Amino acid sequence: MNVIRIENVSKTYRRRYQRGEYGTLKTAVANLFRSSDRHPSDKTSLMALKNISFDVKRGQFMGIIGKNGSGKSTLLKILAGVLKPDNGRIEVQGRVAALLELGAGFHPDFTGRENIFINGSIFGLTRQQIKEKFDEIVDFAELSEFIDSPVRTYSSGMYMRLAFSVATHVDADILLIDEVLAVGDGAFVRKCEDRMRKFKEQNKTIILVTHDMGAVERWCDDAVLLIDGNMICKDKALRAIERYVRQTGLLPEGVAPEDLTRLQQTMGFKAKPGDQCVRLAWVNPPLKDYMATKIVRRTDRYPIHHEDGTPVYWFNGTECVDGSLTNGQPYYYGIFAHDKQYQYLPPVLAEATPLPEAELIRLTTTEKLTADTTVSVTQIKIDSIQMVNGKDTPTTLFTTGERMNIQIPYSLDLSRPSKATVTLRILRDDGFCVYETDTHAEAVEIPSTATQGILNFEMKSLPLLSGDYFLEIQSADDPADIPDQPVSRYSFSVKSSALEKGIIRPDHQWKLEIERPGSTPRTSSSQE
Amino acid sequence: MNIIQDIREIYQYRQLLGSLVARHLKERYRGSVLGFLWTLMSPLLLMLVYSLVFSVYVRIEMQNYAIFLFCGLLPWLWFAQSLTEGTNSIVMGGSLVTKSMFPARVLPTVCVIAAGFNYLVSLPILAVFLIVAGIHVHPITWVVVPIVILIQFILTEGLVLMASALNVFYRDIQHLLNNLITLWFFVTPILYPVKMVPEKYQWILVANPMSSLIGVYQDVLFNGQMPDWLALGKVGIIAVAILAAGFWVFDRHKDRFAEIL
Repeated sequence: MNVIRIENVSKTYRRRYQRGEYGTLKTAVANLFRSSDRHPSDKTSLMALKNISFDVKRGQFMGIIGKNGSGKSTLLKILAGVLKPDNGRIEVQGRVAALLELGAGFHPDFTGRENIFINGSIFGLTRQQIKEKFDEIVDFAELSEFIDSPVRTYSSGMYMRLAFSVATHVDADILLIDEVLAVGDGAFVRKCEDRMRKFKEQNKTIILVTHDMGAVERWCDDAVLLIDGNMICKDKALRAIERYVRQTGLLPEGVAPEDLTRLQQTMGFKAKPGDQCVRLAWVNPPLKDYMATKIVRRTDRYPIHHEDGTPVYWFNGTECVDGSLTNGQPYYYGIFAHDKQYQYLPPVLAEATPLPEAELIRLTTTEKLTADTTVSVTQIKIDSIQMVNGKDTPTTLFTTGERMNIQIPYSLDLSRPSKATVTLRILRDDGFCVYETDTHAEAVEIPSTATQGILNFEMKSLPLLSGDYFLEIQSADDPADIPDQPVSRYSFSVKSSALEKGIIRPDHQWKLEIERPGSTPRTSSSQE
Repeated sequence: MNIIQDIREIYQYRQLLGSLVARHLKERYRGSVLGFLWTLMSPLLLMLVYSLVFSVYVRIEMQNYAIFLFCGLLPWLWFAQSLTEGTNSIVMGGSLVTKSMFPARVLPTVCVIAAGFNYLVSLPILAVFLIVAGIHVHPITWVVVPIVILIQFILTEGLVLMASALNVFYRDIQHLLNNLITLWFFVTPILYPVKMVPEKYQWILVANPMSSLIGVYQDVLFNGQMPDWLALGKVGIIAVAILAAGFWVFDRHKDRFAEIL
């Protein structure tokens, strides 16, 4: 049974109100003579919601996701009846409790006690009913000491606790929550979760607006994705999250490649008994089996899930934008975790890999970890590589025929024997493999006596013609493991002054031999 | 009819109204030594000032002028206070209006009721004055005063609803109104009896619903005579019409309060 039905709801804000300019009689009179101003045009209005339609069933836990300014809060305010839509119809059956914003609905000068009574009466409870619930509300909010202080003296956490406590104790049928849980401490948020679970068990409806994709994934059955006021989809929560992450791009919080090691240390993931270690490989061309969603921030967690929508792994990672390595394309470091219950647990596996944006992940191997093993996938680890030109300057732009040296710093865990191998691959920008080699095939031994070193791959004269290329590096403890190892991918460009075509420029010389009647053959040569 | 629904909605929120009115009254005198006594002191002091001016400097020949003045001043203060505070109430409502499902019309109503409460508690002082001065009130008083109070409440509520809603859109209203109330005070026969108004300005009295209401108080309490029933009836009709208009204006604008504030 649908308790909320929204049909073709649109909402336009007039910008002059947005700027906080209030109308005066003067402008009102002036506008009477300028009829065109009375209709919001593109310049003076902002369309916050465009023809939104969806239903919410009784007992459903629905998320609303989208970037800042995508219309989420406007939609929630319309559901709460605080704002009225310009067009469309809204039907809401049952009593609604809303937590719209921090401190919303509280009068700052009133005490917590007075605000509880006022809020309770807004929900339509009698004084007697509020009195009966009063202690419970205060207990839940953990505010008994401060209940007779004006709420303006409260911290944001206290505000939130009081608001949440009131909203969930007034016997509403529908609970609307807008991002307020973010200010609560961990313990209280867990209490809220319990409370919401109880709410759901009572077959009540909850609508949650949030940026916390983990929360949406954990709690919501379905989610609505809004982008710029348009409803992109209403789908199972995971699917909606995936769309969100794919469509909205990234938040600007990146970590430089050299911070990777530090990042791994600070995250300090350790495996627990029963956890599974997952090795992932990037494949090109993409396989369909498993998909990775884009990673936004270090602390954000996004699910990697199977095609049918079941979450399989958590990806916990961080974006890295470094134009020198990737031509300005963002790529990602990630830490993958898996637990069989699909619960919100700390990630377990630390394996960082730059992830090219459009590529998908193929699950290659899984292995059980033993207790308290710090995850270490391979003995050899490669830090971020560097490409230098003839002048030993790091660059990603080379000229045909110039010296190019690829420096591959590595560290080696000497505790176990290994036949460490490094594979190097050059690909054209469409993925065509131009060249591949590895240290094992060329009998280059990485000595198992030093823990660190730099492997140099030097081309005295770069044989590539102009174009964009990828450099791929893989490392493994045994040559046979190479195909299973993650690929680090970097990009570089080559310029060429000559009007030659193709991919490579073989080292060559033109020689011309002309035979004239009655004379000895003369040789002319040309170079370049 | 719409107005009945509107009234029912206000009635529905009576508990909320109750807490807010109590709150409003407490808030006003928070931190003052005399506290609630100011509710009684303010009109008394005002009466002293006006009596001084109008019986010592500008001489109005009338026995018990101070008491005459008090009869009209008390209901006027209720009216003026409701209007000035009520007009601002939505704008000052803050997140209650913009971010919760708060029934906005409660706010101006709270101002009218709170000021009305102040008025009611100051009535006993007037009674004491009347007794001390030996003025015999007309027995109809017990019937008429509640009626007048009801009519004044309806009239004030209607005006305040209108002004508070429009003030959200045009902040000029509050400034305009403050000056208008001063003017209104002087054209209403509070400081002077009706008979002092020159013939050619009598139309102002007719057009001013407050002058009829205050006239009723003066008639039954001070002059000890029957009120002008016709005038009272007219004001009653005007008051209901203004209340209906107030609801209409308010309902037309309330959906955009949250957006604009």
